[in-house]
Amino acid sequence: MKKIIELFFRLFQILLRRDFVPLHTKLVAAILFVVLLFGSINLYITNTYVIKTTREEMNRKGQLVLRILQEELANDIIFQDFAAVNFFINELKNSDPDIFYILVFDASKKLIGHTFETNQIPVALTQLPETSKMQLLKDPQAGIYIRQLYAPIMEGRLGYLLLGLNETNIKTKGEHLAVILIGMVMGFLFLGIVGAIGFSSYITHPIYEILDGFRRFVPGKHLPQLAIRTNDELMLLGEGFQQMMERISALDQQSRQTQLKMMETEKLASVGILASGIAHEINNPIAGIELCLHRLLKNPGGFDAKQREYLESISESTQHIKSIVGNLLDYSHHADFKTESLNLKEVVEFAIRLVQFRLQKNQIRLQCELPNKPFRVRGGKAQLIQVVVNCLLNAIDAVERQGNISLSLTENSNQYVLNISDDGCGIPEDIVKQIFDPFFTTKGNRGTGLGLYVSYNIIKVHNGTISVTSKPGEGTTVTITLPRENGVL
Amino acid sequence: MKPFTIVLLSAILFFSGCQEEEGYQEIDLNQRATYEDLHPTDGSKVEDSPLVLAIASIVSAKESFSAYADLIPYLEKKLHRLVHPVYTKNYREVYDLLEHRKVDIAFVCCGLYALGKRNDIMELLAIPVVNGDTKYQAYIIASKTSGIESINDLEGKTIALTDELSLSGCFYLLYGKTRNLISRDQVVFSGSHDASIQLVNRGIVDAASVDGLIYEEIAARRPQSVQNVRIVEKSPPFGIPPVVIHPRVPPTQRERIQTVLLQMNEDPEGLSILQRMGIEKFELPNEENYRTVFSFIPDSLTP
Repeated sequence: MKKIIELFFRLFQILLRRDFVPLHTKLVAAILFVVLLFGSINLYITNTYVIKTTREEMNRKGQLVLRILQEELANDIIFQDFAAVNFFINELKNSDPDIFYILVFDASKKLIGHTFETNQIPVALTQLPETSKMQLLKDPQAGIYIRQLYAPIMEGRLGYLLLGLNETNIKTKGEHLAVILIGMVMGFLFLGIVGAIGFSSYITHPIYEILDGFRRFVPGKHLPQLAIRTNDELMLLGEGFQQMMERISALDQQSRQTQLKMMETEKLASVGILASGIAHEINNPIAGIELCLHRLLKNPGGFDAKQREYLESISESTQHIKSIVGNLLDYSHHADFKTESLNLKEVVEFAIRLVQFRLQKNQIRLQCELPNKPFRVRGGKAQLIQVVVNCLLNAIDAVERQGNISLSLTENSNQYVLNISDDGCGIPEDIVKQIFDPFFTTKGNRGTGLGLYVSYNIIKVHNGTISVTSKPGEGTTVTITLPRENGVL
Repeated sequence: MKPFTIVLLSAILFFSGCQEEEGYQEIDLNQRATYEDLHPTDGSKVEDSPLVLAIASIVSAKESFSAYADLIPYLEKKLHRLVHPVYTKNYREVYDLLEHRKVDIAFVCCGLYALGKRNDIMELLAIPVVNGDTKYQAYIIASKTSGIESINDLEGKTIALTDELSLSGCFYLLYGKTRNLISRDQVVFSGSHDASIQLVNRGIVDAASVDGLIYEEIAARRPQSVQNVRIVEKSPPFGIPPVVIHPRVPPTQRERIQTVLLQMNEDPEGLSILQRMGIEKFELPNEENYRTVFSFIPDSLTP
C-alpha cells in the first residue's frame, strides 16, 4: 500500500512540475481520483456497515444462544444429567448453521459436554480461555474463522459455556463483496481511462485541427477552410476562428489598399508642391510677357488690325494664365491652418473660380444663389476653399457632362448653410454611410478616397456639419453648415 | 485542496476499506482428542469414599442449588472429607439412592422420611429450625379466579401436586380430608413447590397443595408471585422436612456430621450459609414431631 501511495505522489509531482499537461492526462487523472474516491467510500461503507453490522448481529445472536443455554442447561447440570446436556446442545447446534460448536464445562472447568461429531474434540478448544471476552480464532489451514463467546452458568458455580460461531461465511461473503467491489472499481477505472482518452481525443482533435488551420493561415495568400462538424461548442469555436481568419484577411487587404492610397496621396502632395513651384516660376516670365505686350500695345500703330487682334488675344490669355497661377499660389500659400475672419461668400466664389475650367470643359451649368451680403465666419481660408472645391469636383464627377449644379448660401438663426446639389448619377443608399470613411471612393483609380474624409474633418474642426443626401439616378445634395463668426471656434 | 491530496486521501480510504478485522488467534482444529483422552480414568485420581449428600428439590433445582451450593465446601472443610452433592429431580430418586445406599445423608420431605423410616432406610440426623419453629404446615391454595372458596370446591378442579412422595405437596391432599373429593385425573405434578405456586398464580391450574414455609418465603420476597393466589386451608402442623442419614453410616461418622450441622450457627461462616438456606439452626431431631405424619400416610402406600 505504501508503494502505491508513493507512486501516486510521484505521478502528481511529475504532473505539477510540467508546464504542459495534455488534456487526456488530466482527464485520466481526474477519472482516477473520482473512481478511487468513490470506490474507497464504497469499500469503507461495505466494510464498516455491512460486515460490521453482520458481525454485531452474530454477536447478539450468540449472546441470545448463550442466555438460552445458561437457562436450559442449569437444571441438567445440577442433576448431573450430562446426556441431557449433550442432547440439548447438539439439537441447538443442528438447528443453526452459524453455530460451529458448543462446549460445556463444569465448575471445576472439566469438559462435560460438546457438539463435535464422533467424540473428536479439537485440543485447542478443550481448555477454558483465561479471558471472558469474545475471542476471534482462525485455523488458516482449514480456512475457518470462529467468533468464540464465553458465558458462566450461575456465575461459574455450575459451570461455563463456550459458543463458537462460524465466521467463515461472513468472512467469505465480505471477501467476495470486497473482490466484487475492487473488480468494479478496476473495471470503472479501465472504462474511465479508455473513456477519458476517447473523450479527450474527441475534444482535442478539433482543437488541433483549428490550430493546424491557424498555422497554415497566411493573410492574403492562403485562407484554410476549417470544417469542424461536432455540433457543439467546438464547432462554434471553429466557426469563430474561420470568421476571425476571414476578417484578418479582409483587414489585410484593406491595409494594403490603404498603403497604396497613401502612396498616391504622397505623390499628389508632391505634385501639388511641384505645381506650386512651377506656378511661382511661371509667374516671372508671365510678368515679362505681360510687360512686353503692354509696351507693344502702347504703340498700336506699328501693327495692322489683325496683328492687334492677336496681340489682344495673347494679352487676354496671358491675363488668364496669370489669374490661374495667382489663384494656385494663393491656395498653396494658405496651406497652414490659420483662423481668420472670412466672408464665406468670397470663399465660395474663389472655389468656383478654381473649378471654372472643369465646369466649362464639361459644359456644366452652375446655378449660384449667393445673396449680396457678407457671410462672416471664422476659420481657415485654404481649408474651407478645399472643402468647397472637393464638393464641387465631386458634383462635376457625378454629373460628368451637360448637367446642372446648383449652389446656394443661406443663413438661419446662428449658422450659414451651403447646399451644393447636382443632377448626376446619385449614390446608392448602402454606400452613403461610407462616403466619409477614409480611402472610400467610387471613382476607382481616379480618386484617393480622402476628399470627403478630409472635408468632414475640416468642417468638424470648424464646429460645423457636413451631410449628404442622395437618390440614385436623381442626384446628390451636400449640405454644409458653419457657425456665424460670433460663435465659438 | 491540491489534486495529490485528494488522491492521497482516496488511496488511504481505499486501502483502509480493504483492511480486515484484526486480532485473530491462530489455532489448529485438526489436532483432535477424545473425551477419554482428555479425562483419563486410570484410577490414579479416584477419591476415597466421599460423603454423598442428596438434595431433593423441595423448591426448583436452581433455587435448591443456590441455597445449598455453599454448604458443600463448608462440610468438606469441617469434615475434612470430600462431599459430593446429588441434586435429584424428585423424591423417589432420593428414596432409591438411599435404598441402595448410594447416598449417606439427604435433605428430604417429611413424607419421604416417614416412608424411609418405615422401610428402615432413613434415620433422623438433624432438624432445621425455621422462624423459631421445627414444624410447618401444608397450604391448600387456589387461584382467585377459580371460584374455590373452601376445600369443598376442589371437586372437579385442576390441581397441581408437587411430588408423589411429598407430604405437603401430595399426601395431605390425597389422603387427608379431601381424599374423597379428588381423583387422580384432575391432578398434575409440577416438580416443586414454587412451580406449583406459579401455576396457580398464573391461573394455569385452579389449586395446589404446597409447603407453607416456601409459600410464606415467596410471599415475603416476591409478593407479585402470589397476588392472584388465595390460601384456602392450612394443615395442622407437621414435623419440618429433616436431614436424614442412612442407618448404616458408622456412628462415629454420624456423630461427626451431626455435630458439624448442630454447630453451624455457632461460627459466622456456618451462620451465613444457614441464613442463605433460610434456616436459623439445626437441632437434634425429635421423633415425636413426625408422629402425625406417620399416621397420615396409609399403610398400603409404598414408594
